[in-house]
Amino acid sequence: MENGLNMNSRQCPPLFRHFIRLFFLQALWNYRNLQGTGFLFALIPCFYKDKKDSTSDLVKYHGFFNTHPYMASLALGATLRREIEGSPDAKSIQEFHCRLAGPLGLIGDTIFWGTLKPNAALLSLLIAFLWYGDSVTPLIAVTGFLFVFNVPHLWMRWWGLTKGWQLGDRVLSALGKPPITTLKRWFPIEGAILLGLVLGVILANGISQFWYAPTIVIAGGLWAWVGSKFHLSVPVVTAIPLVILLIAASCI
Amino acid sequence: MTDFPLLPILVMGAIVGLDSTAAFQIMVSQPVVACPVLGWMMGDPVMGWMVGITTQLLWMGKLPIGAATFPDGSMGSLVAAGLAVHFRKWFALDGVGALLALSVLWGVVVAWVGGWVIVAQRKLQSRNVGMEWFDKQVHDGNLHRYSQGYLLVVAWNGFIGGCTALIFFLIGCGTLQLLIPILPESIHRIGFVVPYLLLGIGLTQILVLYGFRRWWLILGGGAAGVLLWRMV
Repeated sequence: MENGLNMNSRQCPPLFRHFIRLFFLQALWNYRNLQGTGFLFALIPCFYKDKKDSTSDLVKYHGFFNTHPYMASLALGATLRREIEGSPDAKSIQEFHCRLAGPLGLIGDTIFWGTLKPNAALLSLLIAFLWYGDSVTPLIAVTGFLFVFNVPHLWMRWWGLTKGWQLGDRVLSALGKPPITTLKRWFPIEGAILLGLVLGVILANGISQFWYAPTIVIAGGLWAWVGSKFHLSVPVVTAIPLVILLIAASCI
Repeated sequence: MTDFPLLPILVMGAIVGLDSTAAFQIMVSQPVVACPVLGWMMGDPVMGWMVGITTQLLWMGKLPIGAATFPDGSMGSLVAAGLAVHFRKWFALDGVGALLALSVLWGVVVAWVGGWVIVAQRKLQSRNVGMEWFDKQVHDGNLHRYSQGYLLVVAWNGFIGGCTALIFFLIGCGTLQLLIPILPESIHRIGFVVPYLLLGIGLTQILVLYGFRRWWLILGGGAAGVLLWRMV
């Protein structure tokens, strides 16, 4: 046992408790240390509850930290390992966290916000339009969305924690190998196919109801594309055609 | 109209407020999930579902990266769903499009303001008074109090989410109550234009996000989609 941590050398910390606390990482997100306070909250289970020696160890972890919330598990696992292998000083911890924040954030944003979330949404829309009108469709679409998103998400949180714990200082090496590279490669491909499928189904579904429905979808799409070129925000891009439609329908 | 569905809005607002940024992030705050659930709680899951699927894609293009300020689309869609379900009985079937337009329009305003509510909340959390308290617990080695204080902040985030949803829902209700009686009958003409327009805008957000690099996959998927639709 070293440095006030509730761990014997090489003994695995209570990872499940850290895993649960990681769900609250961003609750106290602030402009002073960003996720730093939340990171310490997630780190707490491995500290002695009543040991005064642990105070200095706690203080050094109450600094800047910010990355993708799901990928933070890798950083937390690695931090636990580093602490067990020899208590690093505050400067070394800050350097380590700064070194992790960028790559973990970039990969997390790409995999989860940039591809998996839109993919899950597209899948639920596909189900919605293929079986529109069926009473169980909303239930299947909602369940499908949550399942498709959360299986990789929860797995990543747990895998990250255990992988970080295994690799310690070398945690970044996990980012250049499967399964991370596999997810990065296949999610965009899956997304492009799903986007095509949804477009096809919506257009076919639209034609079956009104001949002009595909024209409206394309017009809306073109307007949004023009809006993105002029850096108009989504609320503005959405509000302008709705207001025009309402005024036109009221006047004509 | 006295039957305001305050409890469902408050509960779902708290859940959305927590799940979108503060805690869990298991995506129950996404419109495609939260809107039908709210609709179900208010007695019309179909209308909630309709708002959910038409607004889901609108907010996909903006990624909640780091300290970026982004519209709170989940909160906007939730309030829009609440309004659409609440005012559904005032509209005939062919007027659903107009109701959807009015609700989503208000939802867009809520999303825009909601983004600034998140920023304001984060600024409040950055104030020295609160942070100094956590600093003190750390220095004193008071881990239990630190954790308790932190969980209180989690509850505070939920409270703010619930209040935001409720306030904007009530303002939206008041506005629509004044507006709907003076709207001309011709407003119903926009009918099914609104869902398809919103879907077009939403799909483009994804297209811009993914880029055209894999256009052949999108085209192939499109052809497969048409075939799939014909088969089903």
